[in-house]
Amino acid sequence: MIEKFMIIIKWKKAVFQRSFFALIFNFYLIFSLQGQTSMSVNGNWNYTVSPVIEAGNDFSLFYTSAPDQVYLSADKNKAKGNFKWSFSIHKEDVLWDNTMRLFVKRTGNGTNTSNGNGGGLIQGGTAFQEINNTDNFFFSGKKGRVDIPVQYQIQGLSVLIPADNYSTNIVYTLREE
Amino acid sequence: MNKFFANTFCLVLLICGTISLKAQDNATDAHEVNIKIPEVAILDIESTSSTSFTLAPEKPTEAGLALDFSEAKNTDLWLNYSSIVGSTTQSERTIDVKIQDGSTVPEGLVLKVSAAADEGNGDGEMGTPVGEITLSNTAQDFIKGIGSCYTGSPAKNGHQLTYLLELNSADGSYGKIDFDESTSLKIVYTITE
Repeated sequence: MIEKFMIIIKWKKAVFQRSFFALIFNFYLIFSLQGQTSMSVNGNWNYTVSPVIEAGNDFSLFYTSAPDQVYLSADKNKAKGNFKWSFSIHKEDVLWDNTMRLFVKRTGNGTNTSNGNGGGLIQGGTAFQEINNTDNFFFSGKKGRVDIPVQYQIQGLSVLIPADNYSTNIVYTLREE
Repeated sequence: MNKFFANTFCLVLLICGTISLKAQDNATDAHEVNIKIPEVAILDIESTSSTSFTLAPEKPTEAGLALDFSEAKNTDLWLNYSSIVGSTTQSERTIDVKIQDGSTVPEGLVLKVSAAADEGNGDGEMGTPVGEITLSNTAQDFIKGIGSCYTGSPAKNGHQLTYLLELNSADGSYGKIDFDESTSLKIVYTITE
């Protein structure tokens, strides 16, 4: 009985030692090799619909923001090798009318931040796609990239929609792949 | 055996830790999009030719007969409008009409106007004409219950207007007709804001 108890103690000690080193190694991997992914969204879009100039007419079919209405950045500190990532997008309505449809597209490539360690890559998202309330893939790339310009377009505006201040939050998610 | 088990356990811990922490490596950020739809209340008068017209009775062709007012009418004008009502501030709009101050219909005569139902080329909650009214210098409701809508533009969209110049039905009106009283009138339509 006593002998058996001692074996268990020894075994637990061995497990503890190895677990401790495993954890340390994990932290090393995460903070030294992996680095931290980071993203940013800079800008907003506040738009007042242009008034109807000719009585009897409806609003225009669509309105488009500036080509660089918002800038996105995807980066990772201490990134080595190929840091592959993708952006997804969805909206979370504050006050919205479902006849209004919001679209987004990428209008530029931004700036590569790999500092000469290869050119990186960015692809997809260059055609208008609708922003839904469920998350959808937007575009992807390799290696860090900042100041990626994004443009919005709204469709479905009509005088049939009650006058009000409509608002929705555009949520971008950066995923490392 | 115990050593093997301990090593295996640690290896699993190492792998799981790395995988699970890497899988959490997402980042999220957001910004607002604000779209302001303003209140809209505009109207205009459209015509197939001109928005100015002349109404005059026909002279009698036989002595002893009265002026003939049957052709003293005009149906060339259409009333177009675009409206957005506020969900809380104003639920509907009204168009009223009057003769601009400073001018009056010649004595013995009356000028009437009516609007047909909307032509149906736009969309939304169109107004309802109140029917034929006799114009005066006092504004009168003409089309009521206008919601958020647009009638379409230009002529042959919206409400077709019919103007009629008639002899006043009051006794003695014919005797008040004076050919020196020919005048120009400006008819003013206003949509409530």
